[in-house]
Amino acid sequence: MLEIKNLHVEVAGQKILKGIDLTINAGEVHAIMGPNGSGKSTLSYAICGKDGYEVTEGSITYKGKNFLELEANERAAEGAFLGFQYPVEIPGVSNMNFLKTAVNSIRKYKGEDEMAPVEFLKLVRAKAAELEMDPEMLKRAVNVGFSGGEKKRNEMVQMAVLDPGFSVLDETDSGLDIDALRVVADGINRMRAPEKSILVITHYQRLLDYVVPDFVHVLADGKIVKSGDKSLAMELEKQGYGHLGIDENAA
Amino acid sequence: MVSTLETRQTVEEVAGDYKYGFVTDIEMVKAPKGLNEDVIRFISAKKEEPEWLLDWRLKSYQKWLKMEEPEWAMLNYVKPDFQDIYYYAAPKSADDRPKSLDEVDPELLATYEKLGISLQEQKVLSGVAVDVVFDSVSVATTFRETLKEKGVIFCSISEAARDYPELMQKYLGSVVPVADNFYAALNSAVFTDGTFVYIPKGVRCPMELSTYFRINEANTGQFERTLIIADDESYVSYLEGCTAPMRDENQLHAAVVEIVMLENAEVKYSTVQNWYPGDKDGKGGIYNFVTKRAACRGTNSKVSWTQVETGSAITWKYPSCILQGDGSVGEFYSVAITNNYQQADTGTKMIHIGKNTSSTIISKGISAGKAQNIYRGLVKVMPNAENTRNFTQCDSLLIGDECGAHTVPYIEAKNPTAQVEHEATTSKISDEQLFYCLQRGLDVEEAVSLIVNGFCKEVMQQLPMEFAVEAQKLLGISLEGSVG
Amino acid sequence: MTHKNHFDGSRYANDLTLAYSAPTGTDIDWLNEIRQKSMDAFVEVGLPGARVEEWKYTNLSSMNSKTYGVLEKAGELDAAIMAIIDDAYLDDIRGSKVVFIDGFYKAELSTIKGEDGLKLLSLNEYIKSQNGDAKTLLQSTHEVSSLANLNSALMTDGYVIQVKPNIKLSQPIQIIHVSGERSNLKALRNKNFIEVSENSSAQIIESFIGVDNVDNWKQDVTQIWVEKNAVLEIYQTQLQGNETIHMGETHIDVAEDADFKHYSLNIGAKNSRTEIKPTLNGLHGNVDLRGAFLGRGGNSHDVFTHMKHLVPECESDQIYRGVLDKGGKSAFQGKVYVAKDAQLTNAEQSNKNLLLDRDAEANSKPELLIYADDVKCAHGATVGELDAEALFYLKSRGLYLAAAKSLLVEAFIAEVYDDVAIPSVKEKYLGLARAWLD
Repeated sequence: MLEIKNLHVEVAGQKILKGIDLTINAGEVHAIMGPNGSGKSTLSYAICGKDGYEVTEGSITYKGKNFLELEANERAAEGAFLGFQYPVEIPGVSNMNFLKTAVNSIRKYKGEDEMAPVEFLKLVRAKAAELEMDPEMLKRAVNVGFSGGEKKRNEMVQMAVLDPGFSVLDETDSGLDIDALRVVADGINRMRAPEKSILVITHYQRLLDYVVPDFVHVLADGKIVKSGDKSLAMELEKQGYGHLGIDENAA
Repeated sequence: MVSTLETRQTVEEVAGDYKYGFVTDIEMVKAPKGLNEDVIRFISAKKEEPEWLLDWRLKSYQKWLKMEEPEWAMLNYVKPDFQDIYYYAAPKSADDRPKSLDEVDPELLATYEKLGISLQEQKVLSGVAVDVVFDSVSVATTFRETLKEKGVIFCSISEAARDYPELMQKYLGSVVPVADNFYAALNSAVFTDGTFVYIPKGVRCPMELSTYFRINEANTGQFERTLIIADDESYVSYLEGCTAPMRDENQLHAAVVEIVMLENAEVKYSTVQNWYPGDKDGKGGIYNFVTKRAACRGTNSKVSWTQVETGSAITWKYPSCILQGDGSVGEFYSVAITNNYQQADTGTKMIHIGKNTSSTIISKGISAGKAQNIYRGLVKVMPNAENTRNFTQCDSLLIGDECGAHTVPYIEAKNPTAQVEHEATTSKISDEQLFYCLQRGLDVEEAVSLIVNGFCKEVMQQLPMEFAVEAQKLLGISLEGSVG
Repeated sequence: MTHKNHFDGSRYANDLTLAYSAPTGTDIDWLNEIRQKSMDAFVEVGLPGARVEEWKYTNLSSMNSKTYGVLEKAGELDAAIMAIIDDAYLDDIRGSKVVFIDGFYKAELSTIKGEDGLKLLSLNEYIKSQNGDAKTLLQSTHEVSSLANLNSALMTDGYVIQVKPNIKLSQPIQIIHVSGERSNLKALRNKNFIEVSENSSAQIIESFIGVDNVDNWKQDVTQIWVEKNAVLEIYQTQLQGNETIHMGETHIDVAEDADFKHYSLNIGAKNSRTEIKPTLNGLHGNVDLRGAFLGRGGNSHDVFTHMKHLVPECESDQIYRGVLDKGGKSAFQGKVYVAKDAQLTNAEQSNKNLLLDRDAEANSKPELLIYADDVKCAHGATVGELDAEALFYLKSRGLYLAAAKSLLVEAFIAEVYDDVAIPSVKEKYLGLARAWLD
């Protein structure tokens, strides 16, 4: 489904990713762990096509399509969703309007008609209810004045509405209390399906107690240094990155 | 004096960006080019005006001759040659003004259909009465009879001069004196048409009133004049829209709008200004030099100006509120978008004279391309204006590094009980906001339009529903090509 | 030929010959040439009238009916003048003391303390002692305004402060300007230069004081260079007499990593005009402008700042507070200009004004001119009376109305001087404000 080969990425002339190979098949959940500065967020931005993240070598293909030839919005329309570590505020634009524009943009890309307003309203309300979001939040401006937990919950609602084939969740668990963590985990687990795949990026393994991954990879200094199953995450939790010969503070 | 071919000589190919840029081929009657007393007499005669109005025009002309074109605005433009302009151009058929819509030139009706304004009453958006000004004259006014039942007068200003001389003589020039400024004086001398509204005591106007302005002819100036009188305890919501064909040369639009509000009266005046802005290289476009002023004469009267300015090569206007009646309220909500080589110097004046008067100013300026966008505003508190309140918020958004966004507020307070507050910020659309939208599937232009609409929300939500949707689309269109 | 909306200034040309020799014995050809050229430039434009935008709030028409002549030498010292100087002098500050009487440096009242790397002398001494350098220096001024030209044409003295690289001055320099009765119907013009070289720092405390009922015109122009990684702090107080027209125009070039702070307090004079024009032309420069103006009984204060951000990543912050009582008038005109290349500029400006009486007036014109898109620029301005809630709160705690008002006004002003680094200077500012309130 998602295939990353020998990926090298530079940001502002600095080499951040130095040869990543990663294949995620349909139905699989992968987790990438690693110390700060290892390149985790860079990987998520490179997959989703953020400006300034220059791929100097290697390839990213999704469902056979060369992602590197697509704009960020085209990758999203193809089915890639990025859950942001720091969701962005957009003053004056209501959540509802934002989602509606997104849904219809994606439909337009696929050559489909716009979703009927009533149908859309039903969809969003249902997803918000599933994720226990107050419907009032849908009227408020995107992420403006939201608490950390509310922002992450909002990301989950957006993911549920857009129903992506592939989701990459960038430290979606950082800074959350246990209740918020449960909501996020619930949101991710709802996306698990035989035809979908998920990449969870995290610094700690506590999210992985709730979202049990099929594979765990350790990223250090721009490379995957070790791969394994969920027991690798437990091992890291117990023994730390130092155990693998990784300097925890290397930036 | 009849000319049709000339109309088309300087017309540029109609491109996709400015969708109102077409030209209508209609037989026109024009006054000779240039300005002198004879041209003014010609206009006055064509309009079958009473003697006093001709005198008033001639007096204005004499004053104008002694005035100089102002230079204080931060605008850079080639000054118009006032002798190279047609001051009167009217569809020929208007010579014998149509009695009903059935008699209106079908070509003209089609023009307005193209603009999205249907003049067939059955097709008109329910609850909006429309007066249509084509070049120099009012060509159609809808729903007149319905309004008449309530005592509301809604007609062209030429008709008002003939039919309501008392109201006209009492109020014309009472808010914007003839010698107020260079362009107001010019307008007073040569105004050709416009809209007259009178809402009688205690009447809440049953529908939105709307005037649609269209400049069609080449080398013509448009000098319309609007006079709105809201008598005691009355209310009206008034909308105006403007478009013009795409032409290489700059065309002058110098309008005057006067609003008078008596006791407890309320007027809501909304503008969506979409005159042709010129092409990508700054060639052509309308010079929009407008004087708009509202006098809150009665106690507790209220005026609210809302403007969405997306068009014109140059916009130069300051819809103002003279808050004379105790407890009167003035509001100014403005969105001004400039792209390419557009320049806008716009804002408001709030003159607090009465006690317990209050005013609110919300201004959103968006600048892209090589454009310059200036907010200029005055809040003045006179010595006897006890307990005055003003709040001003000016936000600027810059798109690209070749444009400018400027804020020039003046606060002048002479009463210690005043509370005047001004805040201003300048920002850009951040890369993070843009990427966030793209990641959710929006393309760049949708994303910019969405973010800009969000930025302008406080102003957009002041617009009547019928206008809001159109205005939102306009914001997006105006900024096309500004990012990426 | 006088420019539109300006008053004719040609009568001032007659004073040129007086100015040639006014600074005792400096009748030097090159200097006279500069004077003549500057006078021509001034006469060409004239004095700004009220319809000149930048002078909208200070009406100079009263100056048009008279001529303020050039004073040839300072007046005699008397006990009253000596008392004023003592009053202004902060005796806990051990740096040099520089005294000007009627616009002329007075060596016998000054104490110049030698310090490594510091050159401190009067402009006339400077011109006499180093002809070549002085010429370069005098030609380096920004003469963009007609008034700056008039100053260059007719100035009679001033000071030059030069701090060599890598020198941190151990003590602030105190400069005291006093004008006495002899200056009636005279103009007192100084031209000053301050250069703080790379990696150096200096503090300057400057007081302007005068006697009441003397109709004089103090008109200074100061050119400042704060060079790479240097720091300069200026602390000004203006307590001129009730008939004085006080004008100070300061141009500051702020280099890379340099830091410039300017504090002022305007209380005296019939008309005061404080122009501060910093130009940030090196990366990471910082400018802080802080000031208060207190007016009543015919005082008119006009503070005019023009902050120019020409390069990226600089910061500027301006805080001005005005308090206007019966018969007081003020204007704050603050312009922030951000050039196209000055990305990542952070510029803030705040002007708040309190009106204490019906017969008081406050004007504010905070202006932003922005040509770069990635910037943070904000300004705020308010005019109002004392917060009724706060007044009530204080009264409910037993304070008399007058005391409550004083307390609130003092707090309103004190905000400006929060960061003043020298305790006695801070105390002086607050003391003067308190005295004005009582």
